[in-house]
Amino acid sequence: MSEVPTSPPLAMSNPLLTGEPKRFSVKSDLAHWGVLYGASGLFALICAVFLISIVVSSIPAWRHSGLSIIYGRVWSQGSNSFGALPIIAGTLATTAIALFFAIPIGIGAALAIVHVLPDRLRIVLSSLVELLAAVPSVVYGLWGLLVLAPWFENTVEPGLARITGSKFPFQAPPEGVSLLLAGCVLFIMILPMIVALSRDAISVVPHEQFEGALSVGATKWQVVRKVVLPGARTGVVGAVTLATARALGETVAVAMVIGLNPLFPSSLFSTASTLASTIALQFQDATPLQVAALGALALILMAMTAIVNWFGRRLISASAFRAGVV
Amino acid sequence: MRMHRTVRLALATTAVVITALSLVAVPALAGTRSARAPKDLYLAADTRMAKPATIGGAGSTFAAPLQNAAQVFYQTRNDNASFNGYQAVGSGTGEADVIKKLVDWGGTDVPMSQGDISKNEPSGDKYTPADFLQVPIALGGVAVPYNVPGLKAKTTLTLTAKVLAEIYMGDVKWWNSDAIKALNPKVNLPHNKIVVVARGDSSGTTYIFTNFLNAAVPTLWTTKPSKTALTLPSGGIAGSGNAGVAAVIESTPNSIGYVEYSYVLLNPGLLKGVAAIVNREGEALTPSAAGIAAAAATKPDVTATNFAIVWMPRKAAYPIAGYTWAVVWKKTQTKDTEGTLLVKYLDWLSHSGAVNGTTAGQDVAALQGYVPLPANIQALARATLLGVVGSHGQKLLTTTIW
Amino acid sequence: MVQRVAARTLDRRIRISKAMVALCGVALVLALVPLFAILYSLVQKGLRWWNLDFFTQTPQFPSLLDPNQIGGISNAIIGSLVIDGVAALFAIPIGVVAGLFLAESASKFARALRTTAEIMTGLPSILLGIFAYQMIVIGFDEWGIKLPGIGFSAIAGSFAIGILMIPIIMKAAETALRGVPVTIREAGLALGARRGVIARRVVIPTALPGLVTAVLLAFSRAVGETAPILWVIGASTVVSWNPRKEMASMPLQIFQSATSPYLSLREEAWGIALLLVVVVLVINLGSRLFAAWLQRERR
Repeated sequence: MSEVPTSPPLAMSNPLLTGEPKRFSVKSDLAHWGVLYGASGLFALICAVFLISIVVSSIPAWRHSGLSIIYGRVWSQGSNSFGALPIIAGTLATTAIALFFAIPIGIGAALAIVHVLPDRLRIVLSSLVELLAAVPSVVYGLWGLLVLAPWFENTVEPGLARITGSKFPFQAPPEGVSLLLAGCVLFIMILPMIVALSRDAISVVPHEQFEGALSVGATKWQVVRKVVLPGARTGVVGAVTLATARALGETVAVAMVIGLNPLFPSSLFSTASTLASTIALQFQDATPLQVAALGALALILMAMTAIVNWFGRRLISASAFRAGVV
Repeated sequence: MRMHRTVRLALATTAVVITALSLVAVPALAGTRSARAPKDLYLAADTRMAKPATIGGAGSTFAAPLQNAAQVFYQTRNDNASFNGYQAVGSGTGEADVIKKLVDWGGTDVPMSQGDISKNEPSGDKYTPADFLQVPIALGGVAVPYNVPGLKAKTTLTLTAKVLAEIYMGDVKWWNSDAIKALNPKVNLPHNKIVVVARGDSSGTTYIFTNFLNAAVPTLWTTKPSKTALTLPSGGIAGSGNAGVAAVIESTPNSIGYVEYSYVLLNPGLLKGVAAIVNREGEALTPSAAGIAAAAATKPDVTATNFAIVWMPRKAAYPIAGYTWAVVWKKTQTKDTEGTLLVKYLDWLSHSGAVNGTTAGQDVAALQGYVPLPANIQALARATLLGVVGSHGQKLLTTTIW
Repeated sequence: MVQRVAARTLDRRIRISKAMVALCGVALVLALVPLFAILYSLVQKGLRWWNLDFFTQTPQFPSLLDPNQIGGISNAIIGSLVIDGVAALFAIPIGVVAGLFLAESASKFARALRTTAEIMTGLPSILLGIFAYQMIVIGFDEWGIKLPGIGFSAIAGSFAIGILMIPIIMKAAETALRGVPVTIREAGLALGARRGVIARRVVIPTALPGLVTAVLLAFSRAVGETAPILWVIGASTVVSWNPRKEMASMPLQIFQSATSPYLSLREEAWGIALLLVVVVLVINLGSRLFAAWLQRERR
């Protein structure tokens, strides 16, 4: 993730090197640009067909239920009514739980890696965290289902119920698979991502600024609060939004631990459903109208992730620019 | 041409990674043929294929343990026959897949009706049930396991259709409600909320279960039986496939659900609590081979439109039993070799070998916890398969040995 | 004035600072605990499944007589290789060439393409599974265009995973190609070479290490993906190298075994998961070591 600094701006200012196809002086240049545009065009075509197919396949559902897909509360194949509000609520709730834990722990861990650890440990641990970010999500689902769920059901959830006196949102009987469990599995999945990207953002803040602040008598924490975090802010926020997008769209791990009940979850311990896991479970044996409704869910999900992604990337590139890398 | 040093090293690293991956693959390559069983000891000669063929099925999880075991058994003893893995995706998806010609046969617990066909056919096609043949391939029962902590070992709860209907509708919410206590006076039931487990996918097992409820207490359970997922009361958990439901019940305290009987036998944890259901004669019976066979014996004339064997009026008959079927195209949609393998396999699957000392599909089924098909149903399967025709209209099932 | 306030509050500020540093340390430990727990579970429950049968046998299904007879996963291992191999076969050329395009062109189309690639990398992969199902498995029959479906097959899975890999490779390839010092390109132009020749003979070979890293990282991500192949590759119990047939795959096998009715299969899922994690980590570690070595070389 720490790339060699390049010099695109210089190259981009020279028209000879920007690759603008001003004129094709020799046939080989035509071939060259032909191949380039061919591959890029093919990819662009695939993306366009993909987007169109999802939009078109969902049209029957929009025509049938209109916007009630978004605010309706009942999702039932039998009665042909497709209201996804509980499913959207489940998606937002699991992501919120994941972020609630992942943001403080992730940023704290990143700060520890950059500013607290000695050099050798820093390299080892940051590589470790990046490697762990590559673990496939089905493995998290397996572990969540077979190891975490029994523990939650026998220890954690009864404990939480006892401590809070079973008041909302801890009131349903503990069942193991639940909203809370899915949120926790998502938290463990996005944590390495947040730590790695935040670490990048934090380490980019120039060391001279850090030492300069220390030299005027600030304590380490004051420097972090007033110098490092503001400097890394856009990068860290970008990391968080990327992790959010991943959590919103995670399918397999969530499907294994959430109970897949499209009712409105009444507590953290109840089963629920998310957009991605609903699509995964119901797609194969859906009636044609239901397939369209699932396509509508896919569209909603795509809109959510696209917005979050676009936001995240803009903030990350702005942060890198400001730190003087580009 | 001397390559740049870094280029050489880049290619070297790629080579190392690919070698590492291949080292994993080579032992797998070595085992491309699974263990071969001795030829001809257990299958009669004419079930063999002259030319190689591969077929695949998908559908009912009710039949999945049988299909998994039977296919492996058949293909290890048959050089030219091979199967794509049976996809246990539920009856509804099985029907959809066979209509869309993605698989050679669809497994379903409920024979296909025109409604199922119209729902799933690609637009522009107009198929009818006459385009398909439905072959009964196994007989089993639907068990009602439960997981209630704190009960004494070897306690079996007795439940009636009425109480089950009320549980699934959410009217009975606690394990120690009066309704359940009245049926089980000597059992110390805890004051815990019932966690209702049902199938979340389109399921033939759901059909059999709701058919039972609708037949036994029609005034209470008014919805017609169907494969569609039931609406769960609050706190309920949806399982995917019979396996999913079994796994959920086993790991969730205070839960109750319905699964095909062989799943109870495959999951020892579920054996702790399987409910005794009160049948039409008033007897409370846990599922058993004898009970299911008795239910089947009550209806010797089974057809694709008259197939239900739930709530039968007969002593010792388990009230929630059902057949499972394989749906095939009347005119084979693939090559004739594949069609021939399909009918030979299904013919072998639906018969027992007792007649001539060989092992056939129903013997394998008995090992998996199903009840062997009664003789007249085996005959029905044979008669149905004789109707499958190939690309020139010729009958594909030409030799029958039982 | 400021100095007096500073002096007065020094003790408190130091205490707060020490407390926050400790909290950050705690956060680091908390961040590592679940990850080590997963690795521990994987090794403890999975390693005992690694025997010769596991790697060389095809799956058997347990019966009431022999509940432990489950064979192995050789079909899933080969299946993963075939599906990901075919996917890489078409994703790598398209991805690298499109990356070269992004690195060399500053047109509006290039900018739009870059944004598209960024959106596609963040997309939930299950949507690609839907796309593959509707395009390849069922076939396309609308608006006068008729594409016959192939049915369940490994190709459908490769299609989905390939589309997943292309934008990842594109972006990383663009970065690697931009990393070629512009002086090298200028030197090529000064010698009178055409742009295409420069790209083929100079830029790509110089950037090759970075490209290899990009491809390996994309491949390691593809190997672990389950959602795109959930309904498109069918199932298979035998080893087959033919992409037109149905196939098994390691991540899908984990998902199916973990939710299967057979207890021994559920436990075997740990063995498969351990294998998958080892493969992914080896590829990742290899590519990162290579990138680190490359940096030292370049200096």
